[in-house]
Formats: sequence, C-alpha cells, structure tokens
Amino acid sequence: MIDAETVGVLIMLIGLYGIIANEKPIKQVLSVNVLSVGLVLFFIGTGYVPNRTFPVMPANPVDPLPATLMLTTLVVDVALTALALALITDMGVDA
Amino acid sequence: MGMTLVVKKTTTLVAPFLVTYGAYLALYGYASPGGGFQAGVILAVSAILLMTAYGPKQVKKHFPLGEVSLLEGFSGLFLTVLALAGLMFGAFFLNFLRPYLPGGTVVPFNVGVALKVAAAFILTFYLLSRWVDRD
Amino acid sequence: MIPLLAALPLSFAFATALLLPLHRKNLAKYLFLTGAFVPWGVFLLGGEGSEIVGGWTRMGGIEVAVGVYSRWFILAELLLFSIAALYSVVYFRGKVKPFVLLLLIHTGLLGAFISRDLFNYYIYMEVVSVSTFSLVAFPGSSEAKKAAYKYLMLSMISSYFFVFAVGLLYLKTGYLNLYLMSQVVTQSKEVAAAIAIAFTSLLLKAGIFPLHSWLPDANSAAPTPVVILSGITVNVPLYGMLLLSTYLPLSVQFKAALTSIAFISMFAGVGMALLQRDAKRLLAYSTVSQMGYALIGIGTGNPLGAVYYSFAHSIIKGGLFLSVGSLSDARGSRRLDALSYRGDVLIAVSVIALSLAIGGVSPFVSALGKAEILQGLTWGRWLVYLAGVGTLAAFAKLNYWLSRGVGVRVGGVYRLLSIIPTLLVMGFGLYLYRAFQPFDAVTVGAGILTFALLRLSGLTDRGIGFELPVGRDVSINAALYALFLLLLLHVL
Repeated sequence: MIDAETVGVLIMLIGLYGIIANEKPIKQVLSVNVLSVGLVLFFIGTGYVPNRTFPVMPANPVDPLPATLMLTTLVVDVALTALALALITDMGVDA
Repeated sequence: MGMTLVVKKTTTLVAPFLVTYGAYLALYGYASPGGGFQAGVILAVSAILLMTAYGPKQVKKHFPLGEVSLLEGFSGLFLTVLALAGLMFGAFFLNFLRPYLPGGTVVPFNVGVALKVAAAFILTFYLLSRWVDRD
Repeated sequence: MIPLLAALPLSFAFATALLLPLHRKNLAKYLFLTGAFVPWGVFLLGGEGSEIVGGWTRMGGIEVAVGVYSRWFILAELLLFSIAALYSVVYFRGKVKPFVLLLLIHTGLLGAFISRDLFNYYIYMEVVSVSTFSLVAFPGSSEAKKAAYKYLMLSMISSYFFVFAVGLLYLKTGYLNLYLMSQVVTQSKEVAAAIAIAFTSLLLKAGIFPLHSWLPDANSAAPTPVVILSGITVNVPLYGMLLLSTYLPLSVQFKAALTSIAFISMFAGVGMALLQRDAKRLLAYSTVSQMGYALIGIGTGNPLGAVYYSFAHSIIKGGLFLSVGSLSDARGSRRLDALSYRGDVLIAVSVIALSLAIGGVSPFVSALGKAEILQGLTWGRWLVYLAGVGTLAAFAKLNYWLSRGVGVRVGGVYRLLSIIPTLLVMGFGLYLYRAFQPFDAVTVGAGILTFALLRLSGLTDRGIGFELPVGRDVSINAALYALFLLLLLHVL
C-alpha cells in the first residue's frame, strides 16, 4: 500500500508546482495552502505504527508528538494565509 | 447582505451549541482529543457563522471590535503570567497546579489559548469583511 | 532564568496591545521601552548554561541554552534592538501597533538564539518572520505591499520545507533535541537529504546569492527601524546553519559546495551593489555579499569565524541603515544623487567609519571577524581579499555620491543615535582585536581606485531598470528555489 509519507511528499510537490506555474497571487496563496496540507500529512504519517490506537492517554498510542507539532504549524499557516489575503486585497489591481 | 429567514433562524439556534462544544474541548482537552487551538477555532466559527448568516455589520453591533480586542489582549497576558508564575515555584512554566487539578496548569492554559485564538480569528474576519462591505 | 529572555518581551507585547482597547495610547512608549530593555537585565545577571523549560528531563522537554557562540548573537541582538527601540520611539510617535510588532520581533529573535531544539527554533523564526512581514507592509505604499507579499511567499515556502527537513530528521532519529539527535544520528541518505533541504531553506532566509531577491525589495521599502533590525534578522538563519553544522554530520562535498556558494554570493552581491542607483538597495546587496563571508565560516567548519563576522556585520549594517535611512526619510527619496550628508558631521563621520569597517579595516571589530574567517580557509584566501576590495569600491561609490549635493537636516535624536554603532564597532574592535595592520590601507586604496576606474568607464551609472509584476516575480523565485534544492540534493 502507499503510505501517508509518500503521499504527503507528492502533495507538497504539487503545491510547489502550483506556486511556480501560477502568476495570480490568489492562486499562489492557495498553492501554499496545498503545500502545507501535504506537510501535515507527511508528519502524521511519520508517527504511524500499525495496530495501535489513538494518540491520547491509554496505554498503546500512536506517536502523539507529530500531531502536536502540526497544530502549531497549522496555526502559523492560518496566520500567514490571513496576512497574505489581506495584502492581496489591499494590493488590489496592481498585482 | 444576509441570507433567508430559514438560514438566520437555524444559525441562531445552532450557534450556542457550538460554544458549548468549544468549551468542552477546551476544558477536557488534556485527556481527550481537543485542546486550546481546536476549541478556539470552534468558538470563533460560532461567531463567523452568525456573520455569514446575518452580515458583518449586525454582528459587529453585538460583538464590538473593542471588546474582542480587549479579550485577546487579556487572554494573551493571562497566558504569559501563568507561565511566569511557575517561576515562583521552581522553574519557568512549571506545572504547579498538578496537586490540585488533574492535568495541572494545562487546563487554564487551554482555556486561555482558546479565548485568544477565538478572539484573533473573529478580529481577522472583522478586518477581512471590510472589503466585503465595499461591494 | 534563560527562558525569561523570550518571555518578558512577549508579556510586554501583550500588555502594550491591551492599551489600544483601553484607550490609553500615551502609555505605549513606556511599556515598549521597558519591554525592549528588560532582557538586558536577564542576560547580564544570568550566566551561561542550559536549562530545560519546566524542569523536565532533556528527553521530554525543550532545551534552551546560552552557549559560547549564541552569547555573541544575543549580545548583537540586544545592542541593535536597543538602538532600534530608541529610534522607533521617535519614528512611530503616536501609534501603538508598530510597538507591539517590534516587541514580537524582539521575542522571536531572542527565542531563536537561545533554542537548542529544532522545532522551537522554527517557531521563533516564524514569529520573527510574520511580525517582519506586517512591518514591511506598514508604510502602505504599493511598493511596500509588493515587497511584503514577495517576502511572505518566499519565506513561507522555505519555512515549510524546513519543517519537512525537521520531520525527516525526526523520522530517522526519533528526537528533536539537537544534543540527543547528535548522539544517535548515522550518516545515511535520508539524513543527508534532510540536511540539504534544511540548508536550502536557511540559505533563502539568509539572503545568499541565487535566493536573495526578496532582500533588496524588503530592505528598501520597509520603515527605517525595521531595516535597522534587518542586520539581525538575517543572522537567525545563520545561527540555524551553525546549529545544524555543529550537531549533525555534513559530508565533505557538501561543505565544499557551501563554500563555493559563499564565494559566488560574495562576488555577486558586490557586483550588483556597484550597479545600484538607490542607496538602500546598495546596502541590501552588500548584505548579500557579507552573508557570503559568514557562510564561508560555516562551510569550512570554523564556527567562531562565522560568529565573529556576523556579530560585526550586524552592528555595522544596522548603523549604516540607520544613517542612510534617516537621510532618505528626511529627503523623501532614496536615489543616491538626491541624498547627501554634507554639513552634518555626525552622520558623515559614522557613514565613513562604518564603510571602512565593513571592508575589514583594522581597528574595527570586523577585522577580527575577517582574520578568524581567513584562519579557517585553506584555499582561496586571495578571493576574500578581492571581495574586500570590491566591497570597499561599492562603499566608495556610496560615500562619493553622499558627499556631494545639498545636505538636509536630520532630526536630533537620529543624529545622536547614528554615532552609537560606530562607537560600538570601534570599542569592540579595540577590546577584542587590538592590532593595527597597515596593509589595510592598501586595500582601501585599491577599493577607491577600482571605483574611480569603474566610474570613469561609465559602468556604474547604468541602473538596473526592469520590474516584474509581483506574481511572476514570486513564480520565478520559487522555480529558482526548486532548482537550487535539486542542485544541493544532487551534491550529497
């Protein structure tokens, strides 16, 4: 089967291609969001061990650290997307 | 701007339950899936849902910009004071409430993070909705 | 005590942000100055050493440390931020939000320099970056917004790939703490690929040659206090490279590739600086060149050279941006032929002294940096001297244009602040280096001669005159990033 890490890397590369190939700023911001989603998938995939349960208190969890790290990365992503969108709407017709 | 009567009534009924769900995630987040950031997003979504149903101007009348800014600043200050208070008991950010609460300092920290994130998201949508009003 | 370096400015930032809804804007500058100067107390009272936040063990906690190398970075940051804080109290009079953002930059810089944990370092680097994007767009002109958008996009791409590299290292070693990682890491293809990706991202953020093009736009459009801090903001990725090269194994061909990139960057930066007609862009291209010098220190395995050189460069570049920036704000234009420091002794003295200092002339502390860098090099020492001649030629161009024309009065506080970096650079030089080399006069003379020849041949008066729409600019630079990433992945 294809594992989550490979798919994550593929989605990151698709996002990078999207930034290179698109010239309109709003499409570039969407491509960066695709990039970040691919990154999150890659990280969650690194923690996966087969036949274990969810990453909270009980005795046999999947590695919980990547999930926590990705929370922080998602916060950064949201803040940056909001800032980029504000800049794009402010730039208006010049872009 | 605004949507039809059905949408308005439905969102008015649903939004308080979202706040309850967000509060549950914040308070119980140390032991089950959840936590500060997720709870903050759900709390903000309740206000943003109202904003899409009724239009930004009416929601801004009920949740004024100044009060949301005040909430954001106070919760941020609360978080850093909580971290610095650990200094009096040993190390910086020490979990000094652990004998009293299950989970210790994590619970007030989650609540603080939830309020701050909710306030920040609502402020972001208020500022981005300025361009919506122009159309 | 060490985490207080980052925690106290953060609490003051939140307190300052509270003043806006509480309608007490006049207290903003007192809170801002307190937040800016409080870390001095923590730094001078606390010592060296490392500490785990929260009292946990190293395997379960986040380690912060003030080490032998990070001490110099923190000292440079505190000095430069104190100068920028005094400048911005006058510059941003009456506004509150820039103070909050500047305190957040302070938090991020200090937090990045004390961290010993890769993810912690990434978070503080992001705090610095996001606050800087907002401040670069602050003037509200169309040029500032485009520069902020370009900086934002390129920095975001490189941040995500840096986290990807951290994730690869976590996958291979199981730790995020650098010391624990160095105990268990083995030389394998995935680790080498992760190091290559991490270095590409840090090279973009530090402004090294092929990936530098956000640097001139952001540094010329931003308000002056932010540009003063740009000397330190490019040091944060350099510190990251230092951490990676100290704790993880780099292969020999990778280090040789880094050294070659550093040499190319030195010459490209100086070449483009010689062609500029805009004063702040000239200084920004000179940053590209000077970062190449510091990268040589990392590429040859000489961390002390990189530390001393970047310490010297940050104070010198901060002082230069302060003087030239206040001149251009007073005049309202950034063109070289419109600015002049005639009639203003303090600014003239500081610009001339800092121009000599950036070339590595001896009683200044940059000579110590240059000597340390040269000590680690086994080949190509003459290239470093040649690039030094080029730097002095570019600064001869700056001083030539600034010394003619009609001077304009700059505000009193700005003039007093402009002499402080000069005194610091001289003071540190006499304290640490204390040798005077007459050979430097030959280098200065060669620089002035080169500039005279170039000016007579007319090469330096042609500006570079094209400007791309910002979307296409970002696409081209993202493509450059991808190609450079492939190149570095191929080297290992």
